[in-house]
Amino acid sequence: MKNDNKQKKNIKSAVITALFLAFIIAGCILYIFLPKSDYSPAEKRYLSGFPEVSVKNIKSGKFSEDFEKFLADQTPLRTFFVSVNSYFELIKGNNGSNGVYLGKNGWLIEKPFDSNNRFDKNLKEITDFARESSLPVTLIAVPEKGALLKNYLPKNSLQYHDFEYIEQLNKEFSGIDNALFVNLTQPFSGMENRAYYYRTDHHWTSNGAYAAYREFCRLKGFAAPSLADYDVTSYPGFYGTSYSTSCYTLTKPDDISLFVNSQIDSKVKVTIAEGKKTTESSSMFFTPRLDEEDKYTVFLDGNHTRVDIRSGINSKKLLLIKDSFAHCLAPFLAEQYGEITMIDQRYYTGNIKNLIDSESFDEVMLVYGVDGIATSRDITLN
Amino acid sequence: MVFSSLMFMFVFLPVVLTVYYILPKKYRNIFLLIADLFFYGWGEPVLVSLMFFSIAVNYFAGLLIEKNPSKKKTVLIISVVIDLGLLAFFKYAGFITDNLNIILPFAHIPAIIVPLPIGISFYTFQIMSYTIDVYREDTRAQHSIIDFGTYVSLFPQLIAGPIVKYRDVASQLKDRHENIDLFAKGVRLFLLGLGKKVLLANPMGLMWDSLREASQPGSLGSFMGLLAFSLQIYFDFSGYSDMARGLGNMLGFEFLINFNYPYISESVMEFWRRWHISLGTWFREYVYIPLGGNRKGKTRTVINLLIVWMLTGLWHGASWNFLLWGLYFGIILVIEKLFLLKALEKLPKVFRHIYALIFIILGWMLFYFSDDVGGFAALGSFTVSLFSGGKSSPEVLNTIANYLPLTIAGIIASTPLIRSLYDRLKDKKYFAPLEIAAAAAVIILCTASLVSAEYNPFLYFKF
Repeated sequence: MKNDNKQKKNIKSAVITALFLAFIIAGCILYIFLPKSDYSPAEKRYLSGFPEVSVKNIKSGKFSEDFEKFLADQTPLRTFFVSVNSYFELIKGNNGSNGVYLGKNGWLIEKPFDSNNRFDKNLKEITDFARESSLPVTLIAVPEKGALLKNYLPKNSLQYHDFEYIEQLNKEFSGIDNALFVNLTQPFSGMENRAYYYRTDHHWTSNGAYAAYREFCRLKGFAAPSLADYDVTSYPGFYGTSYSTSCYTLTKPDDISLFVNSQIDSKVKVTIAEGKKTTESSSMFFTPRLDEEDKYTVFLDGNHTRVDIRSGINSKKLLLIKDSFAHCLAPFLAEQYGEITMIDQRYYTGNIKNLIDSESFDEVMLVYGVDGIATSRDITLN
Repeated sequence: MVFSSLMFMFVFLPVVLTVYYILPKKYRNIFLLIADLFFYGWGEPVLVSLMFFSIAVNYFAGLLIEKNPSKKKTVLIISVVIDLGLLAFFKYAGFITDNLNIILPFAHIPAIIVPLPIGISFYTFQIMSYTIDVYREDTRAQHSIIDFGTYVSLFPQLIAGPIVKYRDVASQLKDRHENIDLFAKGVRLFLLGLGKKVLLANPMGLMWDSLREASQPGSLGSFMGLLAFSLQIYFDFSGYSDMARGLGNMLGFEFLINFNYPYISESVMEFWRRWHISLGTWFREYVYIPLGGNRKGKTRTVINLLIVWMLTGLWHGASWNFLLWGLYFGIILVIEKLFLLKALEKLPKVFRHIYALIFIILGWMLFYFSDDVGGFAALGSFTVSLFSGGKSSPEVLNTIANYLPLTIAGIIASTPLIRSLYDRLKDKKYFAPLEIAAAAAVIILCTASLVSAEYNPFLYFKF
């Protein structure tokens, strides 16, 4: 009997030992033999490679530091482990530990942004610009989806303050001549607003952008085509930023819909300037991008320093200073402006006033996410 | 290098274990020494030479003491002065000069900024236990510098203890019996410690950070924060000791237990018999008893206790709060010794637990607020927030709610409840697969947590 127990104990010891060693040795071997990748599409960044071996690096401790970065970036089954951790946090009751809430019905919702006291500064930057500008200035501020989709948030989620910021922007703008604030509070308040955002991405959908565009046209007295006038095509399998940040990998992908006004898109010529390189294209929709996981770059090829859209339907020239929310709005705006110049100040280093002086724009439009206005360090207009 | 890192778990440990067990026994110590130096040098490539120096000094001191009994006192004093001198220079020089400059405003002693070598407090105490024991003839001198070096730099306990006394492992250095049961015991202990560190201590630390930095923590938030810190420091430190003991087992060593459920203590004295046991024994054996212990009358006992506890406090760090923290426990222990323990015995058990926990937890407050994190000013405002009865903001309540399941799990895990359950079930037939599954879950979840900490979606594209 005693011997029997002892034997059992031995078997258990052997199994535990074997599994432990198998796990760490397999990890080690995979590290050595698995091909290393340079770029992580989920994280949108380049990964660390094997560090440089030199006496100086080793002595200063830089080698060790870089080597650990290399290990961290090249971990086998990386997404699997991050995903396990995300779900484990969820089980522990810590929804949102990775910055994104797993909401109801598969909605991944970014936690409210930390207002890092940038809002007042950016507000002043924007209103000063609007006040001093000789051109008409329009501002569109897009709320985060969490501020709207309250029914989809988990219990115990933090408060969203987007509409308080929007209210403040509205108040400041109403006193400025020649300036227009497109207040999205009303147009975004209906039940249909869930179609205005992606479940797996923080951006608005073309539906959302269209709702904002319609409101803009209403305020401006422009005629906006009705939804039925667009060729709408949906593409499945879109995993956006909310998905890749949080790694809730069991979430179903979104469909991404393109609203194409073929009368405009057929006339359009898009010029993308990145550094000294410029590339041209004959559509605002970059359909090869639909083969990637993050399909949002289908709109105007994603983030670029400067993008010019020329349709020549009229002679109005719009300067569009923006973040990525503008990418799916711009195709609608091309129905009203024969020429649109999009500038992304996260990359553009030139002075905006000089740009306005040197090219003859008729109007300026600013499009940011509310979180961008409240946190960005790149908004310098004056 | 820390144990809870990808580098340790998937590079260092598998390579070391594989090579160690492939090598014949006689080469294992020298291989361990090389591995130890690599382990230490990974984070401290230059300061590894300092450890070499300490090893050499004490190795030769031990030999000299054994050879020339007549001069043994001189040799001991020289070696102790060098050991403590290095510790003083690297750990306390900045603290001493800062304070001298305050006392002597015209002296303008230039600030001495030296990097603190990791683990210096631990290995200095280990190395001194050797030389003192040789002097006292409690152990024989080690003639092999490789074995001696292996003892001092043994990677499992090198950077965070336990403080292993030489005589406790002297025979194991020469002859140890690695076997699969011991190895499996080591794996269990290592995973237990890893789980404590990664799955409990780290999130408790996040909870403490978030509550401490909250703009309106309120009394509840401050209290829960302090509770979280109490759990964090216990799981962090005892987890590290468990990992060290487990790794020792994997290499055939057996180290003494270092933490024995300190939070179930019924007095502060009991707490210190259960917390960081190897440090307590060290001070007892090499400071308190040589000072005369309790054999020289009440007054001397009190003085001895206060000296030992101030030193214990200072050992934890070069900052006034640590000295005060030590003194705080010294005073409580004196009061307990004089009359409180007797009085407490008449109370129901539950009151003794509450009494002990209150003073332990308040002690952590003193412990936490070192000069690096705001010192006494920060301690003051935290104390105000803790006792003011202020309301907590919704964000703070949210944090508390999110971490509540884990806090409860932490409280349960700091008692022997799970251990006794394990002891009752471990020989049951159905338990083996459960245990293996639990071990697998711990290692996968810990790896997931370590990998996640390094997962940095680059959010420039976000806005």
